[in-house]
Amino acid sequence: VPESVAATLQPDLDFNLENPDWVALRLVLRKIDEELADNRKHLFRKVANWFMGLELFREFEVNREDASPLAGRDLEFYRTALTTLMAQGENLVIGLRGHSETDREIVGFSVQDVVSNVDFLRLKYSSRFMEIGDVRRQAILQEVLG
Amino acid sequence: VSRCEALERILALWYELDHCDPEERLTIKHRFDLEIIALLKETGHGRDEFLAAVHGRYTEYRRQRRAEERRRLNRGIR
Repeated sequence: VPESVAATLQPDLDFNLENPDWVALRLVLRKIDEELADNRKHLFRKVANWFMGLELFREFEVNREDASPLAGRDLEFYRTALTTLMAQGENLVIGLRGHSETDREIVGFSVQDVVSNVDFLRLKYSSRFMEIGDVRRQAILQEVLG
Repeated sequence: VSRCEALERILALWYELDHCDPEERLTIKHRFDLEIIALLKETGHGRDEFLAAVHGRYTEYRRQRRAEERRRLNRGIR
């Protein structure tokens, strides 16, 4: 889609995106941000929304990469969405540490569930964006795998 | 056990980690980490650096496995 047309179709978004799926994901992440900032909303509802955002992100990532590797603007937006989810998850962990384990058992998840999913996102980030270079990559593969 | 078999197990666990329910991630991540520690011992390489090195192999593994699962599903439907 030419940029001039995309701007007309998506006048209220921060990114001038070509892939409408990214637009949907961005709207979900923005909604989660609003929920996190709203002190009237219950913490456990915020966690449930974050898990939903995480699953949408993960499903979109694997479906999108079934077609071709992420590159260019897609990769930039992917990175933004990933770091947004990581920051939101870290905030939720801080909030959850103020609750008793009994509270968390009642709603069906522990703080460790949230921590392990934030770790999962961190793993996604480092494995994709750590810059090791081709020479170093080959050396690691040769040394570890023989 | 060859190192290639160990890598296959790591890629399979990485795939599980990517596709499991959020409440299962803690357990699968633990198994994933143990496999990586066993493979990397005595090499001096860290987990993150190793995963960055094999990330391309993982995305290719995931693409092929998902394509195979779609083919199997289609065969089952027909």
